[in-house]
Formats: sequence, C-alpha cells, structure tokens
Amino acid sequence: MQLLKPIAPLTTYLKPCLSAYAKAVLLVLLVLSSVSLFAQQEKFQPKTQRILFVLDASGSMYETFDGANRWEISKKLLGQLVDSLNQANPRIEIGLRVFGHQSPKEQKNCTDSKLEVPFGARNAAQIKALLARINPQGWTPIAYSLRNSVDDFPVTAGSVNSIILITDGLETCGANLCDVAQYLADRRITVKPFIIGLGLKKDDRKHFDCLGTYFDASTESNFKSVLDTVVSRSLTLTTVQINLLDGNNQPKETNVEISLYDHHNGALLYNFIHSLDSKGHPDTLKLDPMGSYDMIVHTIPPVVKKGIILEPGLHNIISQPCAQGVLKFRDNMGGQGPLGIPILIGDANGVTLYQQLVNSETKYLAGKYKVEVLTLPRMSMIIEVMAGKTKEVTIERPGTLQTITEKKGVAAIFQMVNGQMVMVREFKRINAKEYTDLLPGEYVIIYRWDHKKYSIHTDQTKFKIQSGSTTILAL
Amino acid sequence: MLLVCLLAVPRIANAQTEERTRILFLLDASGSMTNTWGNSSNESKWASAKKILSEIVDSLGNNPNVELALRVYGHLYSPTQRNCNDTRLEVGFSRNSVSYIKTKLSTIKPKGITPISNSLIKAADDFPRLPGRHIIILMTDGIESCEGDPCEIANMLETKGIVLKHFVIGFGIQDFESKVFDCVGTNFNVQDETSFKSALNLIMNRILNETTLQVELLDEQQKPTETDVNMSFYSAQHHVLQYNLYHTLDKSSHPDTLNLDPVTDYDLVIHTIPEIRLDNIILKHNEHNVLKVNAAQGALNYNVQGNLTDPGLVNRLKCIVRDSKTKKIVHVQNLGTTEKYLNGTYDLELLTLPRQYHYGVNITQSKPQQINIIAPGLLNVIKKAEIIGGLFITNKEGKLEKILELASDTRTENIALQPGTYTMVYRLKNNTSMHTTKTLTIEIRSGESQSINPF
Repeated sequence: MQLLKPIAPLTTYLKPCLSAYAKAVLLVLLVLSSVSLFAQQEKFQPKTQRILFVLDASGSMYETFDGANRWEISKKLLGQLVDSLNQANPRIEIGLRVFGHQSPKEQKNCTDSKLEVPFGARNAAQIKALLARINPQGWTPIAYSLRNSVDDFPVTAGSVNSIILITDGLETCGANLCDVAQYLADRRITVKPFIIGLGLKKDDRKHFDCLGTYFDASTESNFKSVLDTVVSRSLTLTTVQINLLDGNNQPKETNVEISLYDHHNGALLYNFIHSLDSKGHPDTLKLDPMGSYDMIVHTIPPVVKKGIILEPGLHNIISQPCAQGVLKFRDNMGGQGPLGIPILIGDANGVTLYQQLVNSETKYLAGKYKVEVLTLPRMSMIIEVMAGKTKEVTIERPGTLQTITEKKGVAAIFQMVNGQMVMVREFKRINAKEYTDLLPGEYVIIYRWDHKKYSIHTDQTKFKIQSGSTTILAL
Repeated sequence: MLLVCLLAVPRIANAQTEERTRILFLLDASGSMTNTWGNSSNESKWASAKKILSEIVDSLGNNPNVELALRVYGHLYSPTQRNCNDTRLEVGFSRNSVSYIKTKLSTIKPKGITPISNSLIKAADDFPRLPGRHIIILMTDGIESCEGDPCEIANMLETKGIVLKHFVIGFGIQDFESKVFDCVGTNFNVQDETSFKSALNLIMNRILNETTLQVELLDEQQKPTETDVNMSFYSAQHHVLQYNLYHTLDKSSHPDTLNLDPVTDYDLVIHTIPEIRLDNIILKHNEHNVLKVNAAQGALNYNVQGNLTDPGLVNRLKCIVRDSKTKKIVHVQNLGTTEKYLNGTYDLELLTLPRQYHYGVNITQSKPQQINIIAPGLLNVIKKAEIIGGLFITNKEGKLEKILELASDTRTENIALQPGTYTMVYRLKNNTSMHTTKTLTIEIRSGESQSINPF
C-alpha cells in the first residue's frame, strides 16, 4: 500500500518524514537563504497497518443463530481470521478490546470495556487464548469503548489504523454515536469504524449510520464473508478522485490548486494542483484515509467543502462544482505583454478578488463580476464570465496629454459624461510640464492662473486624445 | 455631512454709488446687410437689426445707470471704393440717446465694406474718460475686410481698461466657429430675427445682471478658507452645464463674488473628492446670495518606506479610496502623493501584493493621515519549462490564499511582493499526476531581489 505523505505534518499524530530526495533538495536550497522549505507530494510505504477488534461480550451474545450461539461463532471466526492475518503479513498488527465481559448485567456497568490484547504482530495465539477465557455477561457501552480505543493505538507516523466493531446490540448507555464518530475523525487516529451487526433488526441498523460503515451478519456463513470483506477493506488502499465539475457537470475542470486541511484542527495536510490523467480523467490520489478533511479549491474566488470523510478501502469520488470561464483583457493595438494598467476583479459587492493587467487572461468561477479598470478616467463594468467560454474585453490603449505652461495656477481635467462634468485628474498646482495618460476621447482642462484673482477668469480648453499618441497642449 | 445655507442679503441700491454702464452698439451697415436671412424669411438682415435694436434701446431707456451709443460702419462709401475708414459714431453717449439712435437707424442705408478693426480703434474714443463699465456689442455679417486684427485690438482695449468686455453677434456668418471672433469676446452666431433678439437679450441680461453669489467653502472652524476647487453650475431644470468656475479667494482672501444669470435655478457640483452636490439652488434676484457649504478637507499622504527596486511600480502600487459607508470608489491615489478628501471615513485598499486594507480611516482637516507601504522585494521566477501554479499567503484563519497565478509560459516572471513568507505551489504544466505537485516556502525581504529556479 502506498500513501501520500502530508506536506506539513506537524500535527500531534503525524510526523514529518522527508524522503532522501526531498532532504537532498532541502540541503541544496539551504544555500538560498530565503527559500526555506521544499516539499513534494511524494508516495511512501506505510510502516504498519493496525486493526483493532472491538468485540461485544454482553449477555445477549449467548443467543443463537443457526443453532450455535453468537459468542461461539465469533470466537471461532475471529480466531481463524487472526491466524490467517498473522501468516499473510507480519506487518499487520492486531489489537483486541472487549466490552460487557467484566460486570454482570444487573450492575449496568457503562465503563465495562478493556483493551485485552494490545497491538502486536504475530499475536494470534494470545488473542485466541484470551477469547477462550471470556464469559459474556454485561452491558453494551459502545460509545465508551470507541472513545477509549483512541488510546489503544500507539502514536507513530506512517501507520494506517482501522476499528472493526462486532456487536449484537445497540448502545445501552445512552451515549450519542454521532458524537463519537466526530471525536474519532477529529483525532485522525483511524479511518471511520466498520460495524458488523449480528442479527440486528432492520430498524436498529440505522443507529450506526453516522458512526461508520455497517455490515449485517445474520448467519454464520455471511458473518464469515462480511468479516473477510471488512478486513480486506481495512487493508486496502483508500484512493480519492476529486471531480471538478464544469458547466455541463462534467469532471473537466483542472489545473487548479487544491489544499486539504484537517477538519478538526485546521492544519494544512496536502497541497495539490489538480490534474487530468492521460485519458482525461481526474488523477487518482492516494490519501491518508483517516480523519475528516476540509478542502479549498483555489479557483477565483475559492470554493470550500468542509468535513469530507473518506470511505476506507474504496475509491472515493469527491465532486465539486466549480465551472470556470476565462476573462481576457487585451489592448486595441494588439500589444504584447502587460500594459501596466491594473484591473480589479471584484465580487458583487465590489470586494477585490484578483488583480489583472491589460494583455493577460485569468480563469474565474462562472458568474458576474464588478470590474474596475484603473485607467484615467476609470472604467467600471459588470462582466459575466460564462462556463467554458473566454470573455474578451478590449481596453483602448491610452494616449498621452502633455501640457505646457509658463504660468502658475490650479487645473483639473474633466470629461463630460451624460452632460455631467466628471473630474478625471486634478493637478492642484500645475507644473510647467505635465504628462497624463488618458483613454481616447474628448476632454476639457479647466484652469485658473494665480495672477487672476477672480473665478470668472476660469479658462477652459477642449482637447482630444487618440489611442497611443501624444496630444500637446500649451496653456 | 453637508451644511448648506443660502443667505440672501438685500443689495443696497444707491444711485449715487452705482456704477454707470455704457454700451456701444457697433453695427455693420455693409452692402451684404441688405441680404435676407437666407431661409424662409423675406426680411433683410438690416431690417431685423433696425427693428430689434430699436426695441432693445427702448427697453433700456428708463434705466438711469445705462448710457447708450451707436457706431456704424460701411454705410458711407460704396464697396468699390473699399474705404477702410468708413466708420462713424452716429450717436454719442448721453442720458437721452435712445430716440436719437432710433431715428438714426431709420435713415442709414447699408452699402460698403467691413472695417471692423478700425471701428474698434475709433470706438475707444467714443467712451468718456469716466469710471464705469464700458461694453461694446459688435453686430456683423462678415469678417474684417481691411488690415488689422480685431482680436488684437479688442484685447488691447480690455487690457488698457478702456473696454470691460466685448460681445459679438454674427448675422448668419458661414463657418462662424472657425472665424476669429472667439478671441474678441463672448460671441453668438444668429440665423434669424428671433435668435438675434434672444442673443441680444441674453447679452443685456449678462451686462445688467445684479444677482451675485458667493460660495463659502467652510473649514472645520466654519471659516470660509477652503478654495481652489472647480465648481460646475448646471441649470436645475434640465441639468445643462452653465458655468465652470474655479473657486477663488480674492485679494483679501474672501471667496470671490460670482455674477450668475438669475433666470434659472442651479444644481451645483463642487469638485472636491468626493464631489459635493447641491441641487436646486434658487438665487434671489438682484441680491447678493451667500452659499455656505461644509467642505473641510483633510490630507492623505501615501508613501513608501525604503527603496523601490523598480521605478515602474509607482504607477502600479495605487491606493484605492472608498467611502466607508457606500463602498464606492471616490479616488485612486498614486504612490508618493498627498491628496485632499472631504472630512470623513474611508476604506483604503493598497494595490501591493498581497493587497493591504485599512478600513474606517478617518481623514479630517485637523487630523491628516499618513499611510506607508514598505518597499516590496522582487522575486524572479526563472522557468526552464512551462509550469503552472500560484503564489499563496497564509491568511489570518491559517488557510492558504492565492494571491497570484504564475504565467504558464517560460519567461522569467518578476513579481514585486511585500516582505513576508509565501508559499509557491506548482508543477510542470504537462504533468498528468497530482503527486508531482511541489510546495516551496519563500521569504521576501524589503528592497531585495532574489531569483528562484523551481526546476
């Protein structure tokens, strides 16, 4: 099994493990004082895989199905399973926690749960011996058992941990199984539990919906096959495919950065740039299946999906609509390279999301944007970006106004817009030579020299600006 | 925010101290004046001129502060003689010149050429050497026939203080705009009798208007010291631009008094930042009106600390100033400048990378604001192959936030970044595996330039 190493694994539970390659690169980069860390989303081999069996030994386990009682069947099947696991792979560690076996039913003991066999490799014999000694008798404190199972797992990086809960009844201590599920996910100790229900009624099964994946076993033979399925899933690679849906709900959007965070503590776990494989399908990721994720797709504006829990041992598909279109600004003279005019792309409230320059293109989520082009005069527009389309906006290349004067005074450039005088640039004190880049069009410069001490001596000169050329105005 | 207060002070009418207004009508009686207007009207230009001028002088006859005179040119010699001195003061200034003017008009026969310059030179002597407002209204159907530049002479008369102002009425002159009357004075080109009458009335109104307006732009102490902003006056009814007047303090530092046509009400836009709009200002006729407007302004200085590695950045690192309440952009200020804003609260967005925000900045006259950015550092991304990816910052919530997309070409990118820590996430463009994504942490220092070669 290959898992991806989280990029900034500075959480309590996941320790960094740089590959030899990354270490080498890091060494090289230390020479560049300013570049401090370099990491790649590399694949690595998990050191261990752990399965914790949480076994019901409440009084009801003596009830029968198929002529034999559940306890006997459980003992037998579990015994066979641990034997074969030991033989198959020495890197698989098994632990056993049992509940309901220490206090009689009458005591209603809600803390009757114990890690009977701690994790170890090749411990099948120990488990079988322990099972032989147990007498089911008590209560069913499922939530308490799962909560405490967190501490059963040694804290080591690079392990994949699973819990398999085998029970014939419901929680009898009134605890909320959904809370426990969240508790487990937040701690990133295990993938979400597998639950094997022995002879549970249909209505009762839904109580486990928010805890994990439920499997029903009502006969010995299907208990065996369910157990095999669950074990194989807990040992199988969990893969993830992120489908970024375009305007036609097709997973065609790609080449966008995606960050995955620990939902519980907000720590950054992975950064990817989304890719399509050679067949044009979203690339498959091998992720640490434990815990709950928050995903940020770094489109403009970003898209956030919170609380993603992976189905262990399966190929998970996360679908996220993020249809994008392209917004392209070019100048009318077919200029290459940015013209240096900032263009602000804002949301509906005018809050800036991104800044572009003329002669550039950027992708945005489909939708309407408030755009401010910081030419003189400023241009405001509302632009709709359509999914899968390129919206091209032509900005006329400004011309230059050169004013020359020997006098001193105050001046401002105005433009008549729908009969309104709109100030385009105020000089305050106008200098002997001033250069102003203006969009093509007709303007008027209004000025009053200092030696003329009356408003009535306000003068005005009309002028025209042509794209890309200079207009010289002697005042 | 705005205090608008319109005060009307009754004008003290005192005949003794009232300035005398002397109007010289300078009338064209060249041969072409006998032509008709050239449209459906059969009336000759001369007939209209006689009729309308007679009406106007009649209406002015009762005004004790007005004296009128009539000078005519082109009426003494035939055009073949081309006499450039064919100009004569037919009725001189006096208190009772009205009837003489009317009589004279009825006897004149237009015939000669158009010696405008010589007429203007001689008109200088038509005015008595007495204080008063001396005005010439030139009415002509052609341009100068002789040597001499009417503009030069009109300017000379005005600079010497002999004449206060010239008005020009063209009688259906073709291509009037391109002719030189602009520099002679306020001018009108009329196409028929009606438009002639209204032009003449307009001029009279302008000359005789006694309605004045003083706009007081008040500072924080309610003193009228704010000035040097353009004011646009629109007619209130149709919102048509009437005047652009720069607010000016006179020699004694009082707001200058404006002569406005009281016939219309006004919408006034004062071009402060943001602009102040005052709608439906009704001026009291023949009175001195005072308009008080709160226009206290505070300064915002926007500057850089440290050295800009690239001088071209001055044009990029702009500061967007928004009204805190409406969130509308009121101005875009350039780096290294100081601008004045009406007292108020503004949101500032600095176009650095990443952008910086200052919300609710209170700019007032007594509390100017200084906003500095630290000079950015320069990151040169050298690309040997096409890569895709972006530059990220870690925001307050601890989440990565994209601030820039790398250009997916192989040119070196020079990115000006504020000092701080950045994360670059990237991979080769043509790579199909997400596992090849790389993450790089970059530290940027002010004013320093550094290069990275991601592959």
